[in-house]
Amino acid sequence: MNELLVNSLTSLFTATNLLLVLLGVVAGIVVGALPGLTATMAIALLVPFTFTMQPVHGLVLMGAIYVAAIYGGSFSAILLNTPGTPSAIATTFDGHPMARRGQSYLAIATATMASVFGGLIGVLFLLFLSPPLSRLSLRFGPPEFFWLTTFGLTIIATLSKKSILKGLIGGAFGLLLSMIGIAPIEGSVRFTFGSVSLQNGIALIPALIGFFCIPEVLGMVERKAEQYTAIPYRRQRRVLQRVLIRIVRKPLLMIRSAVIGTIVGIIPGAGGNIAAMVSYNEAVRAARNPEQFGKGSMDGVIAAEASNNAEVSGSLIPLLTLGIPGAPPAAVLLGALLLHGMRPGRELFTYHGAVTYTFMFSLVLANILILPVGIFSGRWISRLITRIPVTLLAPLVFFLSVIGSYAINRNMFDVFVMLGFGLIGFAGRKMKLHPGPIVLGLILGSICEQGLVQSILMGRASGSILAMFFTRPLSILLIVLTLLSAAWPFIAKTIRRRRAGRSV
Amino acid sequence: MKIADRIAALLLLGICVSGWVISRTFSPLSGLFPQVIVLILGGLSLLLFILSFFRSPEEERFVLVQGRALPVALTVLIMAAWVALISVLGFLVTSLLMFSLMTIVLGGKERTARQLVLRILVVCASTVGFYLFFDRLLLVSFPRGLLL
Amino acid sequence: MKMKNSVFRYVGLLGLAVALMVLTAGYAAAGGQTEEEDYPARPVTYIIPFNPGGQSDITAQYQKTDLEEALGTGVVIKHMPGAGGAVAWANLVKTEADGYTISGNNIPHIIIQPLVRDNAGYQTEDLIPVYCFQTTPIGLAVLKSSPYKTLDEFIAFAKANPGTITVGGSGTHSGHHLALLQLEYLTGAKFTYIPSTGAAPSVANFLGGHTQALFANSDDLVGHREEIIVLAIGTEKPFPALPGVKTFKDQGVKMTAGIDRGVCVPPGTPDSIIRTLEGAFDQVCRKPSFVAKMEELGFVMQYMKSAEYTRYIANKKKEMEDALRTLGEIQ
Repeated sequence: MNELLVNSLTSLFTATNLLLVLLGVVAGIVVGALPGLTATMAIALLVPFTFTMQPVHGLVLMGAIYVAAIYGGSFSAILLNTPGTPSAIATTFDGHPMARRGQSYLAIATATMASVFGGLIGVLFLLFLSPPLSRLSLRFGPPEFFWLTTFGLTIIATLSKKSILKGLIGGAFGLLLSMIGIAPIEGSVRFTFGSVSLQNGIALIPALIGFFCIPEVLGMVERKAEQYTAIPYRRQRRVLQRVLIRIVRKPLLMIRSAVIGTIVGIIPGAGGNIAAMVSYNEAVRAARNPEQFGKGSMDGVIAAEASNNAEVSGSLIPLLTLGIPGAPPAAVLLGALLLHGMRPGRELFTYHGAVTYTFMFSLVLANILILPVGIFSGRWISRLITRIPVTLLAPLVFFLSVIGSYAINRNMFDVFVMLGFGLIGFAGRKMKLHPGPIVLGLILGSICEQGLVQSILMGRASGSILAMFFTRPLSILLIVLTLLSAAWPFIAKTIRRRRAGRSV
Repeated sequence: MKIADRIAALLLLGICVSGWVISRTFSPLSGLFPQVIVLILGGLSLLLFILSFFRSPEEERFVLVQGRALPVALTVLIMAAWVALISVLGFLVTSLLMFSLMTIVLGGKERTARQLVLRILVVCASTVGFYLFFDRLLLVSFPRGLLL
Repeated sequence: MKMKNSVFRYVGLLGLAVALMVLTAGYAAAGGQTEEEDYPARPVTYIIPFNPGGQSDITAQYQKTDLEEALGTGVVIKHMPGAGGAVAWANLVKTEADGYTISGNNIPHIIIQPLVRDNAGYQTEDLIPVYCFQTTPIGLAVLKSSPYKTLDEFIAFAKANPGTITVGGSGTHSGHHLALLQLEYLTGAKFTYIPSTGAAPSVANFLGGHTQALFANSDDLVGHREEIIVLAIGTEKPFPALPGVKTFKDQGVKMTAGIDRGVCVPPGTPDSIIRTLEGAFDQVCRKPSFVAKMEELGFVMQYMKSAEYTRYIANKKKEMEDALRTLGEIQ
């Protein structure tokens, strides 16, 4: 085993592999940074080209792009309030307010360092804990997935800002939208109004692109009278030092975010979109003064970015061990693996072990390389954005959104979905129905429903549906977590009141 | 804002009712989840509707569009036209046209002919550049339509 | 001053746009038409109704180069996943029947979907079968720790306790589901089917002990053979990659279970074009290197040309309609 690890590590350091990692990191950051273009799209477009490459080269390249694109999404999230990839949604919460205050470079530097450290922690899990973690994930059956999603839905409270009622409405609406298409059990065709394209459901990534980019484009149009460019420029000093100090002062924040990211990544279907939001949610809850979040707090950016880079490795754990992708980009990587005849499972770590471990080590390198490339490009990109007038920026963002929605499946219908969701998102924002809860419902909906209905079927077969839901040990743990999480707003208030009372 | 809340609540209630009716036509297990969610959403919308009749301390004004509505409406129209025309006129031509139109709607501060030409050049270069990159290099093959 | 500038801009941009349109129109017009006899004169699009990396995709990637040689033109693989393939097939029936768009097709998907869905977007007969090149056998498995170690024990227990055994599989009304329905139909035993969205999740669900049995594709069965007992495999004759496993037929259950794959064209495609495609695929699929690769991946080769394939589909359809009707899945 040790020999395998050492050999894989040394085979990483060939000229081709090193070049591919560098190329992947640069390309990934570019793709991630451009709004409308996503990590999933980048990897999907690359898969056919890797067919002619050696497996290890293809994987190294795609892995680097995956890591870098997830990080790169923070650029446009911070600078333009449009997440460059869906996993950067939570980065907009605090990253953009920082940019509005002229602290764009500080925000990007924070995101960079958080991504690097978070990503490295995630890869450590991948390298050394994959087998036990995947065995653990097998213990999760339909009832556990159901309770897991209900736990995920309790995050709505944090994402709702002012009105929890509206947050819940948004979440329920998202859940409703997730049901469009063919039912996972018993296959009824639901809510498609005759359209065959809708039978596949709402294409998630185009919907997310539209949901976040279009309202921002329209926002630029609204503000064009007062604002020539998207964000102001203000000179920032000693940026890197400030970030490092913050990270070192609050190690728990970083570690917790990375762990959350890895775990959410392991859950099939959840992915970076959710990982960052859950981590953000936990950071808010654990903070001494939660009001700082949402107004431009570095902690918010750290929580979001550390977890979404850790999620990359998390999503690879079930992928490599069980063939179940933990997130959309991992699903595309699965295709690439199968194309090269590399079947996920034990075989991947033994027969193809050299390739697999070299791939994992390349992720370490990719995460490390993000630091110089990100810091360097971050400085001039944030300057550049303050110079580009909104008249060019707005159409450009829309143009890229069109490309990004079309390119994944080469389907014009997805572009319509993108636009439709964009308008819904715009209207929603005006009515104070924020996008976070809706996105949560949309993503978690199918996992939740499958868990529910599969458990009912299992319960019927075993004689008691209630027992199936409530008596399994893992489920009980999750139920307790869900209840705690749902009750947290009230618990927190009580704690705060007690603390304030004591200090009087 | 309260009126907007009321309208939103009614709209959602309408969606819930039709959702409920449609769900009855599904097979039992396919209709279970929709019915549960529709009930929850319906209940919440009803709550929103009722609460909209009570005054709240921090009420905000409902503003559909900040500033002048015309540019926003035009932008939405251009976006819709853009997406609709891609299959008709072809991706590149539609994009060039609509990109340009949008920059016009957004208005520029060009004062000299030189700035104008520069603007046109940037628009064309970025549109064509991205198009070539994705269509030729990455083989995305955008819809052709009548033209390109 | 401002007015003049915006007019200037407008005219300038419009002029540029017109010029570009004229140029591109000229370019497009120069393309010209092609006729049936010259087929194939330009590249053919090979649509895969599933995601990249899936079994349909892998097969197509291996066929691509040889196919280009056999047809004498380029082959562009395009993925159009969705609704279990229905999105691609619904799209195919609306495509021009000039032979420049072909699509993979899967049995039983193309048979079942129009039967159970009100609006699948196509009818089984609309997809003109050209060639069938492979089958992935489906088998039934239980964990090594299971109390029933043979197919007979399994069925006997199920008959005594109807509905208590949970069987996993991928998808509703899919090959796996159908295999279970056929098993129920032929033996009178009742099971509870727990579908997952995909083969890997169903395997994971099974390995985690959440379902007691599993219908799975041969490659999954082979991959996990250390941990499972395969009760039966759905091939006609014993499957080389799973030695010691009996077929359903050999154990008294007269069914075969598998996913057949081939290619099809839109309705109305001229016969001559079908012949050309048929011949090309036949040439490609009989190549020893291709056969070896396919068998390595766990597929069973088929070599059915259009007429035979059409008959095969019609027979399968009759078989399935009867089973589904009796079991109450369709009217």
